[in-house]
Amino acid sequence: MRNSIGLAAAFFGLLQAPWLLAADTAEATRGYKNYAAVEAQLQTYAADHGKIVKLEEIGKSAGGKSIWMMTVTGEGSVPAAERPALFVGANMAGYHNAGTEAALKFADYVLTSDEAAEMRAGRVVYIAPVLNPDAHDRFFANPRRLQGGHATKIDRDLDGFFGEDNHDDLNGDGMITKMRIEDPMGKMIPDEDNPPAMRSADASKGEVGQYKVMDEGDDNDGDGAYNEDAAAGASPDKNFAHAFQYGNRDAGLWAGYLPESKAVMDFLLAKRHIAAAVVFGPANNFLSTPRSVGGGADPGSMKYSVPTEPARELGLDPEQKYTLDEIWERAKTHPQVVQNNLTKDDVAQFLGVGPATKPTNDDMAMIKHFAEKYKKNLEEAGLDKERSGRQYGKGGFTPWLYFQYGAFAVELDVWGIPKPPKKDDEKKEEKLTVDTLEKMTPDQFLALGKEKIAAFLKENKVPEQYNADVVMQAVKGGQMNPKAMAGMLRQMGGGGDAAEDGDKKSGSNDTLLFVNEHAPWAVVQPQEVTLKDGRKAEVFGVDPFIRYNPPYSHLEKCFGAHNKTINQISEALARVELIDVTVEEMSKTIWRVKAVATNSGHMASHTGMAKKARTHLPVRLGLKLSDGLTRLHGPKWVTSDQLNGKSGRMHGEWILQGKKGAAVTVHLFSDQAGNDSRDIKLEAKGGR
Amino acid sequence: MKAKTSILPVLPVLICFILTAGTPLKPKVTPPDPHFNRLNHNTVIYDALKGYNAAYPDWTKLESLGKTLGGGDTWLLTINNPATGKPDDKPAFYIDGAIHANEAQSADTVLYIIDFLFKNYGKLPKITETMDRAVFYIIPIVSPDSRVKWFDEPATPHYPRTVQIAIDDDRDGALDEDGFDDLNGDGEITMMRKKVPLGQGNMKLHPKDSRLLVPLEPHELGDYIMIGTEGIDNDGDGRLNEDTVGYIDPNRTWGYNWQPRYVQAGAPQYPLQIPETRNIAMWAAQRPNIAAIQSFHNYGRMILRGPGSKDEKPFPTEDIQVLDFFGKEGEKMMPGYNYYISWKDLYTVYGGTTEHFYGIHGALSFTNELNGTEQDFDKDGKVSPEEKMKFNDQLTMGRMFVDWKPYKHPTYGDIEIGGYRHDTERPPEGWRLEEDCHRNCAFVMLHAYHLPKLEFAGADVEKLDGNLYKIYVSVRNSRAMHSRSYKARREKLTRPDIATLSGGKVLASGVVNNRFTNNIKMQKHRPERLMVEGVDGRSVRMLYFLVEGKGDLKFNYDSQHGGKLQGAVTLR
Repeated sequence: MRNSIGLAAAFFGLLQAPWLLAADTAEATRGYKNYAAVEAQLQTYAADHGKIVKLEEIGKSAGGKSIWMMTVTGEGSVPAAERPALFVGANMAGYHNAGTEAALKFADYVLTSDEAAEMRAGRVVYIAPVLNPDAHDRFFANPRRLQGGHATKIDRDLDGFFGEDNHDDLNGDGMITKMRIEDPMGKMIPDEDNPPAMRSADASKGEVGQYKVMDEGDDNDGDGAYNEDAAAGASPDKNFAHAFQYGNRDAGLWAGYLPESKAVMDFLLAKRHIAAAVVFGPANNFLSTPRSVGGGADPGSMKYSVPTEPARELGLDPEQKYTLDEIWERAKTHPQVVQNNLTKDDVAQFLGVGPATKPTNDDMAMIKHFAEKYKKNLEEAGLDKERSGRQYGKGGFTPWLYFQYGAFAVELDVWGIPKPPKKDDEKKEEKLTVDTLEKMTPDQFLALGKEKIAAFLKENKVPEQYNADVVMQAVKGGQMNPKAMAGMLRQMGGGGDAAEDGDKKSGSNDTLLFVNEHAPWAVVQPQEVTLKDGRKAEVFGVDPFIRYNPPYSHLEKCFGAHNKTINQISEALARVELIDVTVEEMSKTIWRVKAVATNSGHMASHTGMAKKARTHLPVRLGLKLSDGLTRLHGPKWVTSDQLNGKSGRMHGEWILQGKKGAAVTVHLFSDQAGNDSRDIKLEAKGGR
Repeated sequence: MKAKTSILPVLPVLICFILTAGTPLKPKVTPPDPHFNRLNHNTVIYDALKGYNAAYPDWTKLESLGKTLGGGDTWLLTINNPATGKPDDKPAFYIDGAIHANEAQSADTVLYIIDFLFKNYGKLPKITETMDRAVFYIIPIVSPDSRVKWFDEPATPHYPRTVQIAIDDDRDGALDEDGFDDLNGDGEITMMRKKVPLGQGNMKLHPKDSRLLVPLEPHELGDYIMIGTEGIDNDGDGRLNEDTVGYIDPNRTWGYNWQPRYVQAGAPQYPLQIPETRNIAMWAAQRPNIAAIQSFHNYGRMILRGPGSKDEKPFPTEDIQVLDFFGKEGEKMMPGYNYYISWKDLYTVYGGTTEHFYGIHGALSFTNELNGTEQDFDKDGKVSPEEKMKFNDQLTMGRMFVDWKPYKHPTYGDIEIGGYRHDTERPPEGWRLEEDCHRNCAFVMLHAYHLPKLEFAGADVEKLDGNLYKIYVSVRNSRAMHSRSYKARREKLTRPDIATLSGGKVLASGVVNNRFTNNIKMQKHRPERLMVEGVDGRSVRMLYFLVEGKGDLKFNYDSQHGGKLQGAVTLR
């Protein structure tokens, strides 16, 4: 008989009582909504706010569940199609049920709160609280398995069987934690300071490894590996095109292969007015700004070979490598390039320069701007703003929203393991991170000393030729400064915890500190079981969901700050506006019309990425002429690929021929920053 | 003690095979007899598919994999000899054409292959053998809607190339509002030129041929301009023909190493967004037996293989050796064809067909660019405008070129419209079509002949003691392709081959590296299900089993790209 050790059980000495099992599961999920409850909640919203809520199924999961999208369009003077829109999506990861709760609470806020009145009236808000419905309910299942895959089975271990070696709840406690097997080949030993955690044996201290540590479960298919082919399909949150992992079965065969990712992309791509997106998921881009997850290159400094045929045409050597500028120098006067109006960008495409891997500078500045506001909101709500945030992963939904959809997009985890209070000797010194490095002066950096700098470089996997001496020398000599170094580290992929890294770290001390205090039922002390293959193992660890989905009482403190943050983003969205229109009579039938437009919002009309990737139409300024009028001069459209907030200006000037008093409409169009128009008559005074 | 055992194929299969193999097919109704001296319209090709299906109903399956954007169908013809097994159990060859709608004869070439297979089964031993042991999946037209338009509506040699989807190419808020126009109603989209006052032009008439314009010498003034392709400024933005129908290039939509539009022109918003290719990719994902791919395009006489871009992972040497064998033989079989690596020798392509099948499914893939010029009369390696015109005049008796005719253009006033017809240059003239079809068919037949062919090359049984035996089974692959590509092995793309022995207790198993030194890579667990990385082309893979049992054992070998084998081993 397998044991169940919850705190209550240990406390009362009541082992193996079945009702305690149920109590544990209920403890973990109390307050959280399973898929059916989310569906019911959405239907209640739709019933109670029928006038402004539209609920639609945008697709079905692999397991046949509806993927719901709720659209809120409050009453307001601007037609829905012309309003900038926001998208809030949650739990694409599948195990981030906290996100679903936050999305529902945000829906409530949008629908009912006074604070959100302007958002209701002036925006369209799309909310999808469960983007990965198949995985969502694993949190409520027995046992609870932390798996992000949807409801199919795949052959991860390529043995011809599908999903045949799932995790097993060996100790019957309703959750899959870890197990350790005593093994002379093992490298792990118990971490005496933080039971039941394990740590690597330190050979330098003469320690010898005793255990192998793996996820809890049998070798069900007898192939010698434990839990290597879980009974879950590929993960939708890995199935998007930015830095997609080819050949990783958990990512799907290609980006957009899975019904969940395809459904949400098809829905969003059909809406051109979504300017900002917040994804509630495991990462937190405000606590740890986005870093490169790879999958591209830096076209500026790289050198390229030119394929044989074009190289011959351009008089270049196909064996040599050239920078983009060098190639463009030759190409720009080539007849084919001239005739076809090819640009440097087109040539870059031909050479395979590759996609962007990090946010543009202006977008990063905007992320930091909101990160400050976010931290302030956390602080005001009494929450920890110093805790670390994970990064989104390769092929994730959030990077797709930014890099490929072109929205201002961030992922927020709603809650995370708080940073433990500092011990006295730690208080004096802040840990050096890429973010703190960026703000340092060269002198402050050098003052850290060689040891700390070396440790920092090592931690960020800086190649050895750039050791502390070299770097310090370069900073002393002015060839390098801390800010530039931070930029380079981000480019290389440093500057934040990857989702996995973050897990590993929080898997140990911080998590244990938290659960010991707030969720003692989530800790499993080592407990012996016998495996199918006859080996003895001990199950131990922490409820794997606790890092994402805390006891509800902890989660609910976080909703307000997140609602407020999204509202602040909403308030800052771009809004294009005509600020000046003049008419000048040049002769009896000849008129000069001038128009000036701006963006009265805080954010630019397009993110830097949208501009680069041309994901949205430009802002267009033009005239609609009544019958009898002719446009003699001036373009059909004056366009801007990025109209900056406040300071951005667009000018249009046209010469028209026609009778006095004829009507003209000045139009200003944008995909995601609203529209504006002004009706004028051709009269000497001009103006409105 | 040693004893040789015979490996017998399963009897019913053998009987069927003997009864049907080798005799020419008897059609149920008169089969199609398509022509290959002129291009075939979609309706002709689809009628032919139906015709083959009616004539050889047991051998063929005709199905639509789904609808296309313009309401067409993705028609797939499966050719399989029912007497030699089910399609899923055999190595498969996938062939497609006309993913670029304007590259019209790529579909004719595919039709030629179908026709050639049926006409020669039972007559030519290599074709018979190939059709007995392999299945052919054939999609003659990947982009049917636009190919119909290329035939039936005014077109150019390069348009329509993409699929029928409205994309705002010029980003002005209106969709496809400024395409080409057949201004003079002659059914062709040609060119527009205009005579201007001396000094305002940048070209002049060719001194010997007024159909041609030539660039100016430094001391000359020009009196002609070439305006561009036939059309007007439909949307009044000052530009001509800048927003035609379509944009998404289906051969930039595939799932491997895909990149968005700002990196790869013609890309959709996510991989396989359009049904034309998604229909195929979703279907192919369920066909792990597809081992070889041939995709047809035009123009330029090339045998292309990946990588499509330099940031793709380099191909394993063991796969390159096989690809090179076909590519280099292909160069000899198809004079004038160059065997090229796409990104290095031509240009970078993200999201191409061949990369998808190789990168995701580990299947060896080629793209052939059909047809090349025969107009280089002076053999200087370039075709001059004069040479092209000479070809038009002397070899096609003027078929290719539509003479300039005056036209009143709304923006440019008096202009002339004329130029090369849409069905010239990229497709060959009729009398050259059939040869190009045949040579490319022969290239595919070479590749298909070398699909992995797995056979038993004997089993040695060594009695240890009592009922304990050591068994060494040899599986031979007599053809060039590996039973599992090295790309698939290295990147774990597909399932390894599986060898099993049933009827006795398998105590241990492994793959033999050297029989003589007893160097065997033992499989630590599950010995009764021996996972084999693959059998390389033109080699023998020896497998080892330590078995407790007696009498007859059943041996099974299951390779996704090499088919399934069964046999018996007798212990004595």
